[in-house]
Amino acid sequence: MFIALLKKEILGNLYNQRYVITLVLLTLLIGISAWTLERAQETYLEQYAEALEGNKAEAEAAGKVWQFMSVGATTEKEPGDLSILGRGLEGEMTRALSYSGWNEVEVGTVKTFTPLFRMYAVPDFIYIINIIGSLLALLFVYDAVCGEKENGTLRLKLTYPLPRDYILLAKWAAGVLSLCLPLGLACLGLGVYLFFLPGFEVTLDHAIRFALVFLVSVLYLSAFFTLGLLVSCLTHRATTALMICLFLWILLVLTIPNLMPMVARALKPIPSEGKIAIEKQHKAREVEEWAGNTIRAEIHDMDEYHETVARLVAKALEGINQFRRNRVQEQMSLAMNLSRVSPAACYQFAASDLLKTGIGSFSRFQRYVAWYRQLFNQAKDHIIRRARDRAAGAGWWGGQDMASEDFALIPAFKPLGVSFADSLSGALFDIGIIITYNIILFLAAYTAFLRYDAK
Amino acid sequence: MLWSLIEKELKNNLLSMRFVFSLAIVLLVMLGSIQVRMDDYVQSTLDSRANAAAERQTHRDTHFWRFQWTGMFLERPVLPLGILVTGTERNPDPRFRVFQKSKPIIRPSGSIDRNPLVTLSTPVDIMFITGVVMSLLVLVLSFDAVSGEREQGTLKLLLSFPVPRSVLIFAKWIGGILTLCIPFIIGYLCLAIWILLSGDVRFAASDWLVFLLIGLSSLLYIAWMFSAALLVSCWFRHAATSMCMLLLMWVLLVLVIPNISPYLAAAFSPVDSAQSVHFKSMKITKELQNEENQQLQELQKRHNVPRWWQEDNAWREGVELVARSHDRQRQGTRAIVDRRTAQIIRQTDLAHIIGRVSPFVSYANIVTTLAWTGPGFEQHLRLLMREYEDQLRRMTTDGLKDQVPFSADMLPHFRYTPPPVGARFAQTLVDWAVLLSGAVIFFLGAYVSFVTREII
Repeated sequence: MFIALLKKEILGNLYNQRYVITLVLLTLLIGISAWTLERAQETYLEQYAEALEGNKAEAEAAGKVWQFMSVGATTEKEPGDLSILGRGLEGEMTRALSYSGWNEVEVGTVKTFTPLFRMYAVPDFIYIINIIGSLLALLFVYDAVCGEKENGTLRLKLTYPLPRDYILLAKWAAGVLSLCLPLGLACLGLGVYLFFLPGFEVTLDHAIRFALVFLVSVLYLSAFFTLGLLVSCLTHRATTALMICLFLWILLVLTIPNLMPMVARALKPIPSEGKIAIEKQHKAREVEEWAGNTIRAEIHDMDEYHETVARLVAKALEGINQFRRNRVQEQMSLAMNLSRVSPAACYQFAASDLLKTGIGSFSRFQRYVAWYRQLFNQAKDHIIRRARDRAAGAGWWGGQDMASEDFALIPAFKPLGVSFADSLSGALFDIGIIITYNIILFLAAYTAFLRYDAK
Repeated sequence: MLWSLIEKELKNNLLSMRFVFSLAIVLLVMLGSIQVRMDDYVQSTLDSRANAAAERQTHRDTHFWRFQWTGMFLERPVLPLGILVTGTERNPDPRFRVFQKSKPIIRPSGSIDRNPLVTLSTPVDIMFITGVVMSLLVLVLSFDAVSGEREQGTLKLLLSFPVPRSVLIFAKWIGGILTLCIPFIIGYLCLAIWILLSGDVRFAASDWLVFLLIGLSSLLYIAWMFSAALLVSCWFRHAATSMCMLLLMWVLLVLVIPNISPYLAAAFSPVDSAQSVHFKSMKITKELQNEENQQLQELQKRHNVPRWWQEDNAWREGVELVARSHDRQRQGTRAIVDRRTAQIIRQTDLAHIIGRVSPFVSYANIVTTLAWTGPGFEQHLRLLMREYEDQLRRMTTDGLKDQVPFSADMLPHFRYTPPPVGARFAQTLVDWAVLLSGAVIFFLGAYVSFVTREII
């Protein structure tokens, strides 16, 4: 009985004009997006190779130790391979980072070709499912119940000995299955395209991540589908249902995820960079004065004294950096929690985390940058100590030539790869929320349909 | 006759639930976002002022020689019109580093420790509210303008009266546009009153003019969308089909083409990477610095002093030599940067040409240029910062020559003024023409289709 209902619903969907449009549109968009972003990725990779070579040459061109201390080393992260599917925060993570002997880490420009790229969202897979997919899901379902009532077929159906829960469950299952089909086809096409793409090596890790992104996408679309079903069960005219669905879509997809980061920024402001700079200056002066009054008398060797003071200052400044990082983290958590009212935000967080371009990966990267700074500083101290030994009292250490062993001391910049377990644990919470939305909305739709007046 | 038809259309629309919904959405989103954006503006202005003062403080104990090596930070200007249109100013780096001898490129400076969510989200501003939300509401309000009446049978009845079809479609067009303008105008007026009453953001007279122009361009954009919707509604027999077609068109025009066009342009008109510009500039800088060192050594020999800064005449000559070399470094760097800027302009123009298939791109171009938060802003800002660098160069050379102590009060204040409204408006003329001609062509299409096609 249930199977017959399901079959009827699925066939009804498949023969629908809207269904054909959904299928064509999704496949077309995912194809175009993969092609354009893959072209862009090629350029990013070329630029990365160019930057690696240039950075190395630039660091090694510093002949004297003081020159190296002022120029320092510039590094950058390799473009992530899965960022073709969801660019997320990849742009922020691939900025050039300059470490020097006595300055703060300086970040380079975000790698976009022109400022115009900052104006529009990146048309990647996540964007297509998040914005366009959710709209299509709602359009697909808005008249599922109220439309049948308008046509009169619902009344007819209820005269048969069919429990209402069967009817609704069949509608839901058929709808979600019918949605999965175009999405699955598009994803399969995408997978095949990536597989045959020269220069893109598909590993097991990629396949698992991609499969999970597909699953999360299905869950997300099903949440919107169930929302549409609920609206359809609560209204009696198809046009009203469509109106309410579009209203909810504007609110949940366009407004909440975009407005909440701004609200969080207003509620939990971060001290500006200028303020932090001044605070650091005061702190450094304070530490230097304190050292002059206390430990100066105990340490007789001037070099050792300066080194100790520099270490103390660096520690104090790192404390201020840490303070700012914590504030950023607080603002970020608030923004995320506020946005999670909308499944669209949850989807974005979960999917980008799975593609290694999400908030979790970014925070990890920020921590690595801070950690690398410490490694770099240790290497710097080591190089200075060696130069001092070489100078052995006869002249300034900065005037010494950089030796090839000195360059070898500089640690390689290799942000740790994000393991699948890490990505999954980052995404799990948001996946859980999407599942919860699904369940709550379905229960609400179920209750509404049981009480639905089909007359 | 025409007037009574328009009246009928207006009443029909205004009394519908869709209209009430649309009005509610527009008011909610417009007013909800503007308060957040104004708060953000106030915070950014305060930060920017505090940072500029703090920056002067950091140069308190410096001297001219060191100053030209370290350079200084300039705050990114925060324009009041930014509360209406974010444009390319989406979470940008807050400062620029200028006048640094070791790295002479003017470049944005920021920290890796920032909230990336703002980068990830789309700003909810007038461009977004009108361009995306309003345009969707336009379709919702107008998809059944003709096909709906045809389905209900009222169109047949209407045509049995002695009403020419041309008058009927014209009345539908006027009535529809008036209905659609009402929620926007109400929302926009509330916005103006809110801005005036809150007093957080002070608009100059020219800013209000821009406010008005942005409003007008939004209405034109709405008219484009409505005309297209009317054409589709005339073309298809069923309201549901026209809704599907319109949504398909909307997704392509508003969500896909604008976002894909920069990538297409990038594929056809490449731009050098920022890093490569940096490497080239550093190469020139290094060569010129070596040359400068050699010349200084020759100077020492000529004046027969062990160190050129120990003797007055050698000092003055040396300072001039260093200044000249510094100038050449900046000129060389600027030439390289200019080449990239030219590439960027070419690519941006190409992206606009490709994107103009979509009215959203024309509209976005108009509002970002008028509010001066588009791609032109940063180029103009950089030009003004170059002038500022030249001022600093003169100040430093004079200060070194006359051997006066450095004081932070000597630093000139950097004030950014955008180009006059007239000049900005002139840049948008093509886009106004594109939107206007689009609206007219679609209306004519709807007209022809309505007059010639079978109604029954």
